[in-house]
Amino acid sequence: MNKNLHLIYYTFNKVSRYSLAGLLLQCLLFNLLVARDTTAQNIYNVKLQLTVADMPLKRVLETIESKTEFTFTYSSLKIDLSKKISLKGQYSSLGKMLEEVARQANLDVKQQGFNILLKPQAERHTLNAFGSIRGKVLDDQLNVALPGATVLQKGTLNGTTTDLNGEFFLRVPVGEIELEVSYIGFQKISQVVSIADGTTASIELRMRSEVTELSGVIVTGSLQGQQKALNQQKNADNIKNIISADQIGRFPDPNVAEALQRVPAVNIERDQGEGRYVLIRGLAPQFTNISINGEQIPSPEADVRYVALDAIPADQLASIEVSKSITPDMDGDAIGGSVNLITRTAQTDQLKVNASGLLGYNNISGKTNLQGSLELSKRLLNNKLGVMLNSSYYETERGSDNWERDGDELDLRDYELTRTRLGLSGTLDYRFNEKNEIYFRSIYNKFTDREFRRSSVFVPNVDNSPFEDNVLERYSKDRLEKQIVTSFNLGAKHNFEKFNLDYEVSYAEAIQDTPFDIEVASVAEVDQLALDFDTNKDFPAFTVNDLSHTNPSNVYLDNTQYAFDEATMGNTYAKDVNKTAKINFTIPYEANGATGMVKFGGKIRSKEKTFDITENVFGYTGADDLTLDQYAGGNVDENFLGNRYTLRANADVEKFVKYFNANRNDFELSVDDKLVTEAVEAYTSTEDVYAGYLMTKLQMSKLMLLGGFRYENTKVRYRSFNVINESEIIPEVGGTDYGFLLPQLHARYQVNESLNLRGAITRSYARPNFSDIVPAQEININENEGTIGNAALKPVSATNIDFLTEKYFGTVGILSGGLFYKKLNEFIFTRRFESSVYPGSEGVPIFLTQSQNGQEADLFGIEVAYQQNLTFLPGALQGLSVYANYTLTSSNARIQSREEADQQEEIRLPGQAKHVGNFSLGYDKGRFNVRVSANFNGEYLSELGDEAAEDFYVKDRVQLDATATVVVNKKLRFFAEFLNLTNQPFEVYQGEKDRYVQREFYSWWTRVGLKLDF
Amino acid sequence: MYMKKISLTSIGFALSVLLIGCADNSFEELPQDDNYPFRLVLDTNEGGDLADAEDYGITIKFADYLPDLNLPNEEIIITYQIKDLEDDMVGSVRIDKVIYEVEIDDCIYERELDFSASADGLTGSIVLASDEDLGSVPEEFEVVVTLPGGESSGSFIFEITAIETTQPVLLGSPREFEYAVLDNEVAGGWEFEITSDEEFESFKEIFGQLNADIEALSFSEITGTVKAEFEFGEMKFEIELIETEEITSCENGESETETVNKVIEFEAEYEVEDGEFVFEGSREIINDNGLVEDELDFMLEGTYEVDEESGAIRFTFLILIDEDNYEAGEELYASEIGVSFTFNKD
Repeated sequence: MNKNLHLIYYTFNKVSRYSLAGLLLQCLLFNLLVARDTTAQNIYNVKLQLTVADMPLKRVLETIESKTEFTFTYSSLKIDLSKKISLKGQYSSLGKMLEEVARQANLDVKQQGFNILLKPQAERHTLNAFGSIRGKVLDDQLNVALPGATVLQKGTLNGTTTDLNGEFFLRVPVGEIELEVSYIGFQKISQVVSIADGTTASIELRMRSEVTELSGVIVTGSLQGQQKALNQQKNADNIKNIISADQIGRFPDPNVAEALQRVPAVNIERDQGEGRYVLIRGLAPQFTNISINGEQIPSPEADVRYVALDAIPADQLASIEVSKSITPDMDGDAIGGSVNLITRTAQTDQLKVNASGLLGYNNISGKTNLQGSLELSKRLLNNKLGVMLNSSYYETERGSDNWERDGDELDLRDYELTRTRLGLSGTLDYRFNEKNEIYFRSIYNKFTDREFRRSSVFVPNVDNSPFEDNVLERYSKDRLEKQIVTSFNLGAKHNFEKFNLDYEVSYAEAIQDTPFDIEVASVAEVDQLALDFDTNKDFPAFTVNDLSHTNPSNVYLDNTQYAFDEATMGNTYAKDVNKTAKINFTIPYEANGATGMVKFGGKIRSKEKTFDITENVFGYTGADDLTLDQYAGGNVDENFLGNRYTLRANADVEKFVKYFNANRNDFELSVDDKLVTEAVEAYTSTEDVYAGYLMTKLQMSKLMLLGGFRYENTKVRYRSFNVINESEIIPEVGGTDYGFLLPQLHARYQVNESLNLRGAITRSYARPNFSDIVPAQEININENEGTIGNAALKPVSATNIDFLTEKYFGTVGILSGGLFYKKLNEFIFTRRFESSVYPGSEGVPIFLTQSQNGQEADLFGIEVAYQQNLTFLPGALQGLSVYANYTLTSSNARIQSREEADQQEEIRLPGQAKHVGNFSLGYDKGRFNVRVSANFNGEYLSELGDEAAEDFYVKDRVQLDATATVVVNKKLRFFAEFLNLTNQPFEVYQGEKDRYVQREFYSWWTRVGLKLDF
Repeated sequence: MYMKKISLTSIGFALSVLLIGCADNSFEELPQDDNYPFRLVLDTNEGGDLADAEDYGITIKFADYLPDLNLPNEEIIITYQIKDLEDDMVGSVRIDKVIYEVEIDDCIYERELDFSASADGLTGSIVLASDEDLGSVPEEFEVVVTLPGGESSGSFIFEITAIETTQPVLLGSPREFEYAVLDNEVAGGWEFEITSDEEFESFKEIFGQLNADIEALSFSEITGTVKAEFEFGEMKFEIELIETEEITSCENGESETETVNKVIEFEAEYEVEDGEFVFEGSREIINDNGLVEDELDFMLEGTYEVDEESGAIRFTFLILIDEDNYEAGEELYASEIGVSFTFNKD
C-alpha cells in the first residue's frame, strides 16, 4: 500500500519542488488579469428590456440580435419559429429574458461566446423531474459575495447555504420555483426561477443591507465582516466560530494567532509579545488541528505537531473557521477544536485590486515596522476561469526586556529581533459548466526570525562552598530561524443528477531551517555576589563585591573581567511533509417531508518528518588571554527594564565569528558532546493515516440532525538513536499502529429565524507529539537514571459534549451561551519508574522517565459571547458597538503522584486558563470608527515541577489595544493601530504567586496605513 | 494605458515584495565550523621532572577528532624550536629521539620518526610519516629531549613553530611546552610501611572515603607497603596487596611474563607551600548496584614536615571535604590532630 502511495504521489511530489517557481509564474500571469477581456459577456450580465405580445419566435430572436452583439444558432427544422411569444416582465438581464422565451417555446438555451444555441427541450419526465439552480448571492450596494446566506425553496425544507464565494447549488423540481434568501443584517428577498428538467438555471440574487436602509450608515468592511461571519456561524451544521477577512481588520491583529485570540474560548501563547500558538477551550496546542483549505498542515518544528500561527499573515485569508465540535467528514484528531484557514478565490469578472501599506513604530526597539499587501483577482473566459493572486509582506524590528530566575540565579535578558513574514497565495479555478469545476490552490508562507539575545547571568555561591565561586556569565546568542510552510491543493467538484462528488490531492510541506545558531559564553569570578529577590519582588536587586547593582562602577560592567568560556555553533533542519488524497460523495434524499443527505468518503495521508542537527561546541586553547572586551560590540540597551539595570556591550557574535575564523586552530571542538547531542535529537519518522467515514444529515421542520462515524487508522514508524552513558550510540527503530472509531452526533433546533439551540456529542483524539513517540533515549546507567521515548504511546482520546444557544440580532449581533464537557482518556503524563528494561540494559534496574498513557482528565467549561451594534440607542449613542466574550473552564487531570510513586495526584491541565475573555467597545460615526479592545488570558499551568510547589504558572495578562479607521471613500481607508498600550508583561511564577521566575516586557507598538480596494 | 500602468506597478510591487521577503538577514561571514580539520597539539603546556632527570618526553598528539575520520596518511613536517633556556638548561637541551608506539598482535613496538636539528639543537624539524602498519601517521608521538642531569636547575620552552602538510591538519594549541625542574620538597618517590591493623584503619579513615577499593581492603590483604610518587602537579599512592598476578608484557617483539603484587592506585592533583599541602581530585560515589553513580570533587588538606637528617617526610592529614560535605561538622574527616604517616625516600 505504501509503495502504491509513493507511486501515486511521485509526480505530485516533483511538482512541489518547483513551488516557488510556480508562484513566480503566477506573478507573471498578472498580465493576464489586467489585459482587456475580449470574450463575450455573460448573457446574465447583459441588460435588455423587451416587451412583445404574441410575436413569432423568429422575430423575437431577430429583435434581440439587432439590440445585442449575440447571434442565435438553431435548426429551423427542429424549432417552431412561428411559436408566439409574449414578453412583458421586467427582466434583470438578457439571460433572464431568454429563460422566459425558452420556457414558452420549450427550448434549451446555451451560450457559447457570442453565439446562443437554441434546441428543443429533451423529452420531459413529468413525474419526479428535477433540475438545479446554481446561484450567487451578492450585496447589492458593495457588489461583494455574501457567504452563509440561507437559500430556501419557499414552502419546503429544501434549501442550502452559500459558500465562501456567496455561491450555492440547489436541486429543485421542474417548474416555477420561488427561492427565498435571508441574511442577517439584510432584507429578505425572493425570486421566481423557471426550471426545466435536467437543466441548471444560473441566477444572481442581490440583497440590500438593512443597516444602510434604516440609518444611512456607511457600510464599512468591518460591519460587512461581522455579517459574513455571523451568517456562516448561524447556518453551520456544527458549533463553530468564523472570522472573516474583513472582520480581522476590526482588531489590530497582524497574524493568524492574534486574530484567533478574539474568538470565544480561545487563548494564545505568545513569543516576544506576538501570538504564536493557539489553545482552544483550555487545551494545550497539540489538541488543536490546524488546516489550510480543509487539509491539515504539518508543523515546521521538530518535536511537535502544532503549527506556530505567527508564521501566517492574516491578510492571506478569506476567513478562519474554528470548529469546536467536529463532524465525521473532518479529521478526527482535534479534541480542542479544528482551525481551518481558507484562502481566497476570484469572485467577479471585474479586476479586483486590494492593496494595503502600513508603517509602524515599536517603542522598545525604537525601530519602524512595515507591511504591504497586494491582491489581484479576476474571473476570465466568460467567468469560467478564476485567478486570484495574493502577496503580503511584513517586517518588524522588535525586542523585549526580560529578567528570569532559576533557583538562586538571576538572568537579565535583552532581546532584539527582526521578523519578516512573506505570504504568497494563488488560486486558479475553472468551471467547465454549472456542475463541474476544478481548482488549484497554493499558499507559500515564509517566516524569518533573526534573534539577538544578550544575557547577563549572576550565579552566587549561596552556600559558600569551597568548590564553587561567585560567577558572572555573559551570553550572546545570534540565530536565524526560517519557517516555510507550503501547501498545494488540486481538486474537483462535480454535481451529478443524483449525487455530488468532490476529490482532492494535496501536498503540504513545512520546514524549519536554522542555518546558524551561535552562542558565545564568557565568564568571570568575583569575590562577593548576593541577590535579593524579596525586597522588591518585581525587580530583584544584587550586589557584586559589595557594590549595589545601580553603582556604575560595579565590576559586573567591566568586560575585561570576563574570559571566553565556550562558543556553541550549529544549525538544524526539520522537515515535515504531508501527501494527502481524499474523496467525498454526497447523495441528497427526501424522507417523509424532510430533506437530507448521505455523505461518505475516504482519505489517505502519508507523512514524513525528519530532523537533523549539527551542534559544535568550541573551547579556547590559545595561549593568549581572550576576554570579552576583545569581541564585545553591537547595540546596548540604555533603558533596560526602565533603566533599573545597567548593561554593557555583550559579545558581538559576528565580530567573534571573524576572530574564530582567523584563529580556528586555537579552538577545540568538544567531540563527545557533538556526537551525543546530534544522536539524541536527530530522527526520521513516517506516519500513514487511512480514514473513512459515513454520515447523514436530516433537516426536518426546525430540527437538523447530523450523525455518523469516522474511522482512522494510523501507522507510525521511526528511526533514531539511543545514547548510553553519554558515549555509546546505538541505532533504534520502532513504531506503533492504532485505530479509532469516532461516532459523532450533532443537532440544531431553530426555534425561530434568530434563535438556534445546538447540541453535539462527539468522539475525537489527539496524537502524541513526536518528542514523546520518537525517543531521545538517554540512558545513564551509572547515574541510575534515563529518559526514554515511548514507541507504543497511544493518542489521547476524548468524549466531547456541547450545548450552545445562539440568539442573532437583526442589527448584526449575537448573544450566545453554552456548556461543554470533555472526558479525556489515555491522558499522556510523564511517569518516573524503576525498570531494568531499557536500551543497553544489562539487567541493572534504574529510574526511567517516560511519557505514558493511562490516566484520565475532565474538562468543563461555560462560554458566553455577545456582540452587537447598538443602533437601537438614541442619538449619537447608536454608533456604539460591543464585542465581548468570556469562557470559564475547570479541569482535573490525574497523574502519578510526585510525592508517592504509587499514589495519584490531581492537577489542572497544562495550558488551561480558568478565565479567558475579550471586551471591545467600538464607535462608528459617519466615516470614522474607533475601537478599544482588551484581551484577557487567565493564569495557567505551563510546566510541572518536581513537586507541586515547584510548578510553573503563566500569570494572567490583559492586553489593551486600540484601532481607528477613517473611510475616505469606498476605495480608500486610512487606519491606525496601537497595541499593548499598558506595557503588559509576560510573567511566570513558581509555586507562589509573588515568586516570579520571569517578567518580560515588550512596551507598545503601533501601525498606521492605508487600504485600497479597487 | 491606465490598465497597463496598473499592470506594471502591480508586477513591480509583487516582485519587490518577493525579493525583500526572500532576502535573509544573514551574516557577512559565517563561522567555519562545518569542516573538522585535525589539530596537532602538545599534550600539555607545562611539566617538569626531578633535578637529576637526564631526559624528558614531550607528547605531541592529534586533539579529539570525529570518529569517522581517518588520520592523514601523508607526511607532515613539524618545525620546532627550543627557547628561553635558563640556568643549567643552556647548552644541554636538544632532541634525542622522536618515538611512537604501534601495537601489533598485543605487542608494543617502539618506532622512531626522523628529525633534523640545527647545530645547537635548538631548531629543526620532525617528519611525521605514515606508518606502514597503522596505514596513517601515528595518533601521538613523544619528543624525547636531553636534560643536564645531576643537581641541575632551570627551565626551557619547546615550541612547535609550524607544520607543512597537504592534509587537513592545523597546528592547534597548546603549541608551547614549558619545562621546569621540580624543586618542591615532596617531589619524587616515597615509601611508607603500614605495620598494624590500627595504622591501616587510620589510613582507610582518609583514603577509604576517596577510593572504594581501599575501603574494601583489610589489613590482612596488604603487604603494608604504600608507595607515593609526586610528579609535576600530580601525586599517586600505590597500596600493594598480598595477592599477586601474572603480567605479560610484549615490547618490540619480546614477550615477558612476571608475577607481581597487585596494587590499588589513588591519584590526585596536589599543591604544597610552606609546609602545607592540598590534594584535589574526585571521588566516586558507588550506588547499591555497585555502579559509579556520581563523582564528587574533594579536597584533602594537611601539613608536612621534612626530616633533614633522615630525609623522611611526615604527612599529617587534617581535613577532608567534598562538594556535598564541606560545612563545619559535615566534613568527611576533620581533626585538629589529624592522622600522620611518615614516608621514606624510595
